[in-house]
Amino acid sequence: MKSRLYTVTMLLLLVALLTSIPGLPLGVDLRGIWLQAHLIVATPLAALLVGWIWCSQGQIVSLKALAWLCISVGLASIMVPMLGFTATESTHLWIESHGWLSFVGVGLLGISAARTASKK
Amino acid sequence: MSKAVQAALISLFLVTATTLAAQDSTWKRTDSDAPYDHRIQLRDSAGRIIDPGITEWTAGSSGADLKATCAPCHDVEAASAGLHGGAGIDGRRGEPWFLIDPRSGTSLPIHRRSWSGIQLPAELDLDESAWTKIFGRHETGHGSGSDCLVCHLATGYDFSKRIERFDAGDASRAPFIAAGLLDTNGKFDLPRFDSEGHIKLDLLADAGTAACLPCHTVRNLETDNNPNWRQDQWFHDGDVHLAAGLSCVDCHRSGIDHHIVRGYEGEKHPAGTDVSSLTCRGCHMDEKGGHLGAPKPRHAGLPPFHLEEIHCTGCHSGPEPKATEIKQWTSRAHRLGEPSQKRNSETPPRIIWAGIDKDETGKLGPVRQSWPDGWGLLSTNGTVRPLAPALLRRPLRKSLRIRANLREEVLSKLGDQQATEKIHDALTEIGDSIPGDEVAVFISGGRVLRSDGNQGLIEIPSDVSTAVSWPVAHPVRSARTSIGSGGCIDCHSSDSRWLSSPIAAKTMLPLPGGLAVTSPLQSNIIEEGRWRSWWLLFAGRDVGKIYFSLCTCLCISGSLLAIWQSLGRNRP
Repeated sequence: MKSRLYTVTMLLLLVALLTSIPGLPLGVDLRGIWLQAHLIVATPLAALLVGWIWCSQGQIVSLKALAWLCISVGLASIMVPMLGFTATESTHLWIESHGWLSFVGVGLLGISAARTASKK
Repeated sequence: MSKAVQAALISLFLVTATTLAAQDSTWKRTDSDAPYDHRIQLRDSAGRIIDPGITEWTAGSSGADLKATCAPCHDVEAASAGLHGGAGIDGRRGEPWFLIDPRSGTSLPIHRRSWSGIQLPAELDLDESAWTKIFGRHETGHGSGSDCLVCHLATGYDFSKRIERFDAGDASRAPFIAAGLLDTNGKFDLPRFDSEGHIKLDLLADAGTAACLPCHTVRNLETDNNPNWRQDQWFHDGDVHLAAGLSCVDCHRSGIDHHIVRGYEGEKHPAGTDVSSLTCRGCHMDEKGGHLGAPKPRHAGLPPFHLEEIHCTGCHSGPEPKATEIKQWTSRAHRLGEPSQKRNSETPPRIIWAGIDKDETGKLGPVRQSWPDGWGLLSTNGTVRPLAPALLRRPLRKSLRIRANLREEVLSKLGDQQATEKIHDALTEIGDSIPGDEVAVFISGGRVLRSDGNQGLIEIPSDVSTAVSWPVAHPVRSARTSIGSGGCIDCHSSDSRWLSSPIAAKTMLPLPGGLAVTSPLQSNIIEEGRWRSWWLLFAGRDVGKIYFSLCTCLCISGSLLAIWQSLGRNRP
């Protein structure tokens, strides 16, 4: 069950990553159908992240924990403009922060997985 | 020639050239911000000073000439041209003028500028004098109608008298009569002149908003929800900038060339001047606060691509959007400024605030819209050209017995019937009266109809009946009354019906068949499927905010805890 949950989370993370590609060029925010797809994927993903982070307390290595923190702070950074805490012009920065932090988080997860695999 | 003489001549030339070059202009300038006290003498077209006590000026005779009167101090040639005088580049489409002829039911958009869908004067057989008679009243700087006083005389200019004189074909005297210097009998108001023939005129570069409004007023009429517009008229708010004390020319600036800045984004000024700081964005989004320290909006929570894809006017200008179209009067189309008991909500042309449309750059902005009405000829190659009203009078009088107003007179005879037969008769008569192979057509309600040869009418496809639209910039509404002030659901909800509400053409006479009906969604200005999917998503936006905030808090706290625990495990 746990591994299935992990697989689904990883899969959704990957889809979220893929749907964010049209927003990659700097200054071009994700919009339209890709943004909708990203939001639809993000909705269950947020709950899965919570579940995964809290369920695996005490078993996570530092690198993976750091990866989850990056992704979580990335999630927080998108909440700032979403909740109207910033002006439109600075919204770009918050959206980009969300993107970069999430990328870094996914990257760290990958490294962590690779290290675990090599230890085995 | 000795070298000394050559050197002396070169020196003399250089001194003269330098002195001439040092003069900025041949025109007199005070270079002060304080207004100049204009005590001037009137001049005739040859530049000779007029003695107002002797000159009796009747229509047709030479008399005072405004250009010559202003010319000793101002570059009137430059001032008479410019964008405001009808010269310069055509630029973004503006409000067309309307050739209205009640006798033939003609209401056609027309302009000197080459804007698509809008007739040129020559296409409707209007020569310069006919044009001046019809449209000279709102043409400030072109040809014989050139009038500095209409915009620069701060007090005492009677715009209704100007209209009256142009209607009477008295264009050359119109400025003087409207300014109260001359009566219609050609006599000057002598007590206003001193013993040397000077007259004091309250002339200002910026004569205030009142100088612009005679030609630039827009008034909302009824909507389906508000049939009592007359009663509610006093209750509407004007432009927020004017209410804040700004003048029109604070943004719509110009030099003596009268290339008045239109103020839209991407405007190319004919003088090559960078006028981007005079746009909405230039003032309000500038880091330093723009001109006059304009407030910088936060647009908190608004995804930034909205500012890239929608003009500022898209949310901040025009009437508040309703679920139905909003009918409007404009000064130039409906002769506002002229006292009239006949002007009513059915007075042509029918201009409506039509929500939003995409401009040439693909950006969304608010527009006004109007549909052409009239008669035309269908050529063998399938193109339709509208007919000038003068060509229609005889056939319409013969076929429909029209005396003054086609719509009213035909409607009074029709009762509950449709006008198919009447229009068919008129089309037959028009076709017979005009030589050639072309077939007469009726243009109304966004449709073009021709005779089917059997007392009926058939519709033919043509762009000539398509609505013309032009951008709306005023009145600017305050931030708290703009679209979006009520949140995303102002646009992204099933309640924002103004995007899906039909905007329908209207025929001047009842006809069978459907009318051209459209809405921003149906016109694909906004992609309907995407818009619907967004408002479905927005239905859960508030819940989503709570959900994601909660998840964020739990994720961060969980991650921090995990880091803490993993660090603890790694300690020896």
